[in-house]
Amino acid sequence: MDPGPGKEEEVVEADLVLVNRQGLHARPSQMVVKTANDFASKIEISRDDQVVDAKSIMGVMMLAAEKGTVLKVRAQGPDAREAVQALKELFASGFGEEI
Amino acid sequence: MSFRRLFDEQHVILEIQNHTKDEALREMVEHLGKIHRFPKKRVEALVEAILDREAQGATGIGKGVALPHAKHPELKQIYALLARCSEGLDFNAADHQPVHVLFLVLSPETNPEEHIKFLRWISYIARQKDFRSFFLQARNVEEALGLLDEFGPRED
Repeated sequence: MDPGPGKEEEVVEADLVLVNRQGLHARPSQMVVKTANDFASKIEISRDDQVVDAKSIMGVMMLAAEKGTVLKVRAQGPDAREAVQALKELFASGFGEEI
Repeated sequence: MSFRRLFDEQHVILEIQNHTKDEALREMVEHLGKIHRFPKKRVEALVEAILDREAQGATGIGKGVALPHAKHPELKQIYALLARCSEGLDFNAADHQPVHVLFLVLSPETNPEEHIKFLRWISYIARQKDFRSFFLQARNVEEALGLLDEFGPRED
């Protein structure tokens, strides 16, 4: 189905806050990448001026975000809104870990 | 701290002897335990923790790199080991590629910030294609360590 003009290029941005005690270590990084890969949109996560591809585990681990860090997510594509929502929920859940 | 300091000649296995994932991981943990004179009981606990962690989700992070890691309450600092398996280990990595480059990380349960900073340090190096290809060609431990100097972040 043709998503129609505009929809294809929708850009959605949001903040992602690390709430779990252990921060963005390997397991949560893998969860982020797995979630990001469920979507067709291009998804980037940034910390200050460092921008990484949310679909790359090595990229996400480069962020080394500890508890309390605020990251920014920017998704662009046909399912950008859904992708950002899914990532926000994942971060808010603390990846199922101790808060 | 400088994470580069965690690695010296003893902390590199140029060629892993065991070619199944579990045995290779055991070899790495035992190697590290020997260098640092860990009690046998702790080595066993660490092997178990590493294997448990892999069972929850493989630490193959793609492009032939794996990052097996575990925490242990008796550890006072981070311990690390760099190892190579030229033949490639079946690691159940996300991208299904065999693993040739392994960074073993053993961390204390306190200080999760240090642990993720170290993961950052490792991924900074491991994501560089030239590091991966030169490491696979390293002829000796000194060359392998030189690559950590060359490809490691300038500040840490």
